[in-house]
Amino acid sequence: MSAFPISLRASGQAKPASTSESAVVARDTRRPVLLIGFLRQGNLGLGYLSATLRQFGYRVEVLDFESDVDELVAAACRLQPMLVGFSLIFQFYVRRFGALAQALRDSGVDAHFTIGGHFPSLSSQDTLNLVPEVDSIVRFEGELTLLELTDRLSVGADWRDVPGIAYRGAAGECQVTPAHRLIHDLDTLPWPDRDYEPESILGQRAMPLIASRGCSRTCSFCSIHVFYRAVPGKVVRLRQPRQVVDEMAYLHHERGVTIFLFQDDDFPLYGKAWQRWTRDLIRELYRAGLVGRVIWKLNCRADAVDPELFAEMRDAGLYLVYMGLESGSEDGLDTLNKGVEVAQNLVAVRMLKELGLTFEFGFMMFDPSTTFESIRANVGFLESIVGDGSNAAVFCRMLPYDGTPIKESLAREGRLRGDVCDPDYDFLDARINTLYEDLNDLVYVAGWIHGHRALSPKINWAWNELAVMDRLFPRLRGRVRYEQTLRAITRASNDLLFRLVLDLTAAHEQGRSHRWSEARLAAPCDRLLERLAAARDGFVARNQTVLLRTLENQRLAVAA
Amino acid sequence: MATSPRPPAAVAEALQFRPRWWWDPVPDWVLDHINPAAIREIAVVQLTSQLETLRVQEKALEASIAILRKQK
Repeated sequence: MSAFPISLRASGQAKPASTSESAVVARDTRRPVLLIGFLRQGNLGLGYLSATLRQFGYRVEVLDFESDVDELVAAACRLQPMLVGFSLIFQFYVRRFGALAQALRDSGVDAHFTIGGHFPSLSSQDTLNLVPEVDSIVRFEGELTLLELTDRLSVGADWRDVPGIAYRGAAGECQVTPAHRLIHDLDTLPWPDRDYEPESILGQRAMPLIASRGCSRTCSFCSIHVFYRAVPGKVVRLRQPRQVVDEMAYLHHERGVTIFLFQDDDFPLYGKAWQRWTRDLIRELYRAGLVGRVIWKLNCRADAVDPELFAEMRDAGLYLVYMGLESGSEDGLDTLNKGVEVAQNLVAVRMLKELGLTFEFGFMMFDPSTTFESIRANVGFLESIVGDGSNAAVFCRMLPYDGTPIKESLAREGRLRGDVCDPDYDFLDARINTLYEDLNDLVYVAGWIHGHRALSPKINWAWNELAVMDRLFPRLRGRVRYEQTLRAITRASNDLLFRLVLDLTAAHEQGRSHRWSEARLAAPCDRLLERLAAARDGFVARNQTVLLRTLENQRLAVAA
Repeated sequence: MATSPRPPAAVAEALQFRPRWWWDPVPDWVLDHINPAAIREIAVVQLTSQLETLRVQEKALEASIAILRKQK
């Protein structure tokens, strides 16, 4: 048994993150805590929770939700944790989490079960109904709440008044305690645990991190702003640039990481104050000697793309920009409440191309306002930004997630369909419903954008790799020719995809049949994949000696 | 990249094409809605059908060999 004051602090920092800092809390750290969630691309949320608990002496095991259920059950039985925490990122997995919780209980795991994430925070009653095995929900930012809950459980104290939780009352109703304020100073948090091997791109190690939390925008399809505005405190919080760069330097020198993936809800770039912050970050990167040794990716909006700032970021290692463009029609952008116009999206893409920055984008071909006309506008928009083969077109359908304003408005209009695991809606024109189903079968299941072929993402991965080669390796033999081939493959893929969408759109609008089928798409799709594999692997194989020698030298440099 | 019938270029382990981890799993409709047990089931079906195909091919080859031997 030990006693610590509740205070989250990074090394050498002493800023309080809790109003109860001075309270002395009893805790018993003998039994471990088990956290289960998605670990693909790293799970920073779980990393922060785990680091916070460990800072206060708890043993924490983090397991991958995508592991075999039997393995998870065996691990839980072996560990005998006092608490199992589930991190539910995507609401359509809620039943799978429910099944796992059930399997754990059936195997005799008697720990307290809690769950956190956007969906459990915003739809606590539904979560308690759908996952009957959970005892509580950690709502909103979880570090302080999970720590306090663990402290109470560890000494067998009552936990039902812990701030920031939800639980079942005597009659099964959802009881909610007042939430904690958002953590004002993110640098009081310890750096997230990353007890896993980094993923790699051409042998270069990649790790996620954040420089900020929160989003100041109010897109109708997104629950992030709702999540942060539901509790008191400043919505967007930025870390100190020096702290961010110190974390990067640590990961570079100790773990050999050369690619950093900023997972901020919206990287702070918009407006003068945030631009100053970004320039401070750049200065810190130079100060730490990381420029030229590491590269980084960020997520942003089109209206944040400023040519001068992006040129400075590019020179300091920015190599890939993900933009949520979302729509190429004004009606679509209005419905999604993006707060940008089509022209701004176009200008942003043009500026990134002029700066020589590789980009990826999110795009919703279908949203609740979709008409045949808007689909054609969206295809026209995609043609204008990637018709040159600079990137493979990807798109999806907007889904009405819990907690989003658009879900509420669809419910009011009586257009909401499906359930929490498969939220859906009717389009205004019933013919678009069948068009979407048809296109979905062909494009997704046959594997253009997703599925087992996933042609577009594979092409974009090849572009990502090329950008990494340009920034972290010496100039490679045959690079220009490879880029030309990749561009030709991308163009051919996009052309076929656009033709498919336009043909299907016309057929459904006019009520006639069309000539496309999964079998007919599979052949060209496979041919393009074959060309991509041959070009990519051929290029890499030709330069293999240089690539491997560079990796070896970088490892030696990092070790030194 | 598994669809290529050509022998793959000899690329070192560290330099293999491994895009999968990068993708956001949200819209990955096919795989996201299949649990590991179902994936195993699909693999069994695929291997069984492959086995059937090979058996048929074996019989056809035996017939071809018999014909060729007769012609000799």
